[in-house]
Formats: sequence, structure tokens, C-alpha cells
Amino acid sequence: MSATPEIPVAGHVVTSRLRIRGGDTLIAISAAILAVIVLVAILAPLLAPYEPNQTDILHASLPPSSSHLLGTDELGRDIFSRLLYGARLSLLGPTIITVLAVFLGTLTAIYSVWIGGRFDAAVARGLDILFAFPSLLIAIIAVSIFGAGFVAPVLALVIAYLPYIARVVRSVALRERNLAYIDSCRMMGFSGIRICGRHILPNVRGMIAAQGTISFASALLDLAALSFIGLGPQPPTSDWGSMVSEGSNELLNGAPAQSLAASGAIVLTVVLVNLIGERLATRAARVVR
Amino acid sequence: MSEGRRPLLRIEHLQVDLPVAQEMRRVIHDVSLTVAPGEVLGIVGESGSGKSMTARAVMSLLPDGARVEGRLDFDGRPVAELDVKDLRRYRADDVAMIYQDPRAHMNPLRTIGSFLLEGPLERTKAKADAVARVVKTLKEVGIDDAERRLHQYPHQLSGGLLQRVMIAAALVAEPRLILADEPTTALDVTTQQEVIAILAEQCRDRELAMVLITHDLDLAAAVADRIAVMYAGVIVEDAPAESLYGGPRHPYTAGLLASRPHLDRAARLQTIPGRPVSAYEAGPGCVFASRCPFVEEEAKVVRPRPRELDGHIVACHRAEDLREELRTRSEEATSA
Repeated sequence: MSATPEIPVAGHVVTSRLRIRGGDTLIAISAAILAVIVLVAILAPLLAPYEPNQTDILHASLPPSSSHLLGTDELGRDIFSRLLYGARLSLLGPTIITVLAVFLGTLTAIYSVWIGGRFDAAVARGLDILFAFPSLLIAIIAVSIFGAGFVAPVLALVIAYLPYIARVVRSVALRERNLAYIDSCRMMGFSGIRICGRHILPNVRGMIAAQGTISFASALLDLAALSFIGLGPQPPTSDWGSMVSEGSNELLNGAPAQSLAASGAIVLTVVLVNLIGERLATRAARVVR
Repeated sequence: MSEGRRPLLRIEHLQVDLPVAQEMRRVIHDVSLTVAPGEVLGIVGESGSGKSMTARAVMSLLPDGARVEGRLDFDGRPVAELDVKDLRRYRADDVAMIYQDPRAHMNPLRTIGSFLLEGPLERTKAKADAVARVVKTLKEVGIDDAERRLHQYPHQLSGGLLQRVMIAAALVAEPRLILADEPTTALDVTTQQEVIAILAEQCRDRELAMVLITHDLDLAAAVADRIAVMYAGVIVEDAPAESLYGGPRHPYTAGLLASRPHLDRAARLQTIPGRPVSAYEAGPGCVFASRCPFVEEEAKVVRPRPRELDGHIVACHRAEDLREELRTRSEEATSA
């Protein structure tokens, strides 16, 4: 058999569904800008004109100029460089939160739906309880136990965001599990792992993508808020949330550059991510019907 | 009928209750059946008579919370005692199922090829062989451009084609028993004939046993060796197809035979009065008592046990008295 037909895998349909089509220019532009932001964060060491933590008291609190695009802060650090470096932690945090929350949330949801019965009911109630706690509250509790920094808030937010993912995935997977084709899989003697991984998961991943994206935006905001109140990464490390807070002293002294630039970066990123997330959600909903 | 051989499937006094809104409702009262290797058994009954539940019980795939009593042996082994692993092997290798609505029973995101190959590839590493076998089977069920179909998705195929794919999927597994649950009901009439002919031919060629579940008595009579008539969760009559068709021993079977429409006669369509009762609505007596034209007091209180009469197994108190009456009735209906 030299001319064995290649059997395409399930991914084909889904990618074509996620493909950017005409009429989606807004989403295409959003994705492009977002890609630039991510690239800037990765390439920060190459792009930044100054060392982000290099203080220079002689050139403190300078207004924006050609040598310092956004001016300098109270300690004479270049705000533009700090903004570029700040993007790294500000984006890495939500990324870790989203990836872990999506992984654990999806696993919990599909496993629970597959087992069903009382186990599923218990998991669903547990998620509801977790869902009732504000994410910031969970993060603040974690910080009060493990101390401020990058790790504690991120891990706390993974737990906080898990129910956001798991509840949505559970509802879609529950519907999928009761469809006839899952019965026919069972009748063919397939294992639970195979049915969940190869049949249920591909049919719910549109919803996972949408919910994950929206969670990313919320997680970014939460982390920025924690940094703003000083519970995030500690000085001199920069991230957007702490920059808003550091710049707030200067805000009323006529030097709003740092706060505005950092807030602008946060707002821009969150809006772009949400735009994409909303679109993914409408598509997933349309597929689910 | 094949005497002497050990039955492939033996069901004895199967009784199934399902939880419906906080209470258990009986959907199958008492079903006893055997299917010999290579035999085609037709199970005929109206909707809600418990035909499909019987099939699901054979697969050990009843809805959550179902309570099952009675014996259900496959090849001498009780299905209820299989552990998880053996049960999977039993479903994968011994029994295959064909459904009324093939479209709903296929993952819409997967191609026909991936649907057909998933089972075989669990058993063998040789993908090329598996593909060749699938293509061969598709051709045997009348799909000529099999290679092209492998790359298509379920929504691109017609119902008739999909049902052939379903049959191919069942045959590829090389089972010993096929459960066909209303395999032609969702198809248009000409496609129905083709599909059932293919199914019957393949079962005969491969000496497969088949349980054909249908509400169409003519279809069952055309394909099956033996027919079991089900009503409200009870098998009321079980007999060789020709004998049942020519001389029913149960009033319900006679009523079904009489109420078939005829194209060559301008007569008023005969019907069975009343509506079909569900199994859980049946009283203590005969399940058919409320609609039976020959009902007597005894049948309203005592449920008739299935017993043998002229080679039929029939559950009716008056089967002997009614022999002549039912014969004349069915002769009127079939000849005329």
C-alpha cells in the first residue's frame, strides 16, 4: 500500500473555524497589535534605550524629550525602558495563570462530567463556592501567607480563575457527553480517556479558547491591581501596575507620563485581548448553538 | 430456528426499571429471548414497547440508575458479571450496534475515515492494512468511491450513505452479533430497501447473528428467521417468521398484521383500538388487556405466562381458543 490515504486529524475543522475571515478586520488588527506588544516584551533588552533599573539622580523627573521618550522618574530611571521591561512580568503573569487555570479547569470539568452522578454534583458545588470568592481576595490571602512578589499572587489567581474555566467547560461538556455519538463511542468499547480526549475535548475547545482569553484579560487587571497596592513584584523590578502606583506621586505635579503610559499599556492590552475573546466566544456559541 | 446449537445470546426474564422523576418505572416487564449464531431475530413493537431498551441492556449501556434483573448471557457468559475491561472488549469485539439516526451517532468534527478507523486502529498497529480493510468493507456495503469518502465529514453525506458507513463500521469490527435498532426508519423508502438488503446480505455472507429492531412487521418478516413481538415491555409472541406471519397466535400480533395498509385494495384501514400503553402503565393483568377484542376477566388480573403453542411462544390465556379465530382474521387480511 504505497498510496495510503492520509487521514486528516480533527484539528482541521477547528482551525478553519478560528481562521480570520473577511469582516474580521478589527480582530485581525487587534491580534496584530497584540503580537507587537508581546514581541516588544520579549525583545525588551534589545529595544530599551536604557537599563530599566539604572538610577540617575542628576536626571530625575525629566519631562519627555528626544533622549528620554517618556521622561524619567523620581530616581532618574528611563520610563520608556521601564515600560518595555514591565511588559514582561505584566504579560508573563496572566499567561501562566491562564495556561494553568485552563489546563486544571478543563481537566476537572471533563473528568467530573465523565464520572457524573454525585461526584459531578459535588465538584459543581465546589466550583460554585470557589467562584463566590473574589479573585483579589484569594490573592491577598495568599500574599498575607506567603509574602508579596510574583509567585504567590500568580498561584493564588490560578486557583481563583480555575472555576471560571471549569464552570463553562463543564456546562458544554455535559451537553456533549449526552449526545448520541458519545454513546456510540461507548458501544464501540472505547476507553473513557479516549472518548474524553479525542471526542469531547475537540468539541468544547472553542469555548475553552474563548473563556481562556477573557480570563487572561481579567488576570492581567487583577495582577496590575495587586502591584498597584504593593503586593506584586517588589522594587526595583518594574511592572505596569507598580509603575502606575509609582507615577501617581508625580501625577499631580504635572508629570503624568509614567502613570499614563503604564495605565495606557494596561488598558490597550486588556481591550485588545477582550475584543479577541468576545469574538471567540460568539463563534463558540454559534458552533454550540 | 437452529436447534442443538448453543445460543449466542440468551436473555431470561429480563426486567428493567428506570428512575423517572424520583420513582422507578418499569420499562421491561419480562423478556426472554435467544439468538443462535447466524440467526436473524426481528423484534417488532410500537414506540415505547421496550425494544431499544432491550438492545441497550444487551450492550449493558442503560441510563444511569437503571435497575436490571434477570439473566443476560452472551456466549454462555453473563454480561452483568464482566469487569470494566472485559465489558469494553465485549462491546468492541463481540457486539456491534447500528442506530436509527447515524448522523447523531458520529462525531461531527471527525471524518468518515477517522470514524471507521478508530476502532480497528485500537487493535492493530498496521494502519495501511486497516485502511485497506475499511475501504474493502465500504465497497461491500455499496460505497464505490470509498477512498474519497474517507476524507469527507458526516455532514457531507446523505442519510442513506451514512447508514451504510454505520453498517461498515459495525462489520469492520468483525462482531458476532449485530444489534440494528430501527436501521432504516430515518431513510426514505427506496433507500430503506437498499440498506436493509445490504445489511441482510452481509449478515448472511459473514454468518453473523443479528437482532433487527423495527416497528415494521413486513420488514422483519422479509429479513428475519424469527420474530419476537413486543408490547409494553413484554414479549407477547415469539415464533419463526413465516409461521408468525401466516398464523399469529396472539391477538396483538393478529391486530398488527390486520392493520397494515394495502395498496391493492380500497378498504378502510383496520386499526387496533385505543393507544399503545407504556410498560409502567400496565396493570397486573395482561399488558394488552385494555385493547384486546378477546379480553376476559382473567386477563385483567392475571398476567399470562409465556408458553409454547404450535412452535410459537405466546403469552395469552386464550391462545388455544383463539387459534381458529385469529387464523381466519389474518387470512382475510393477508389474502383478499
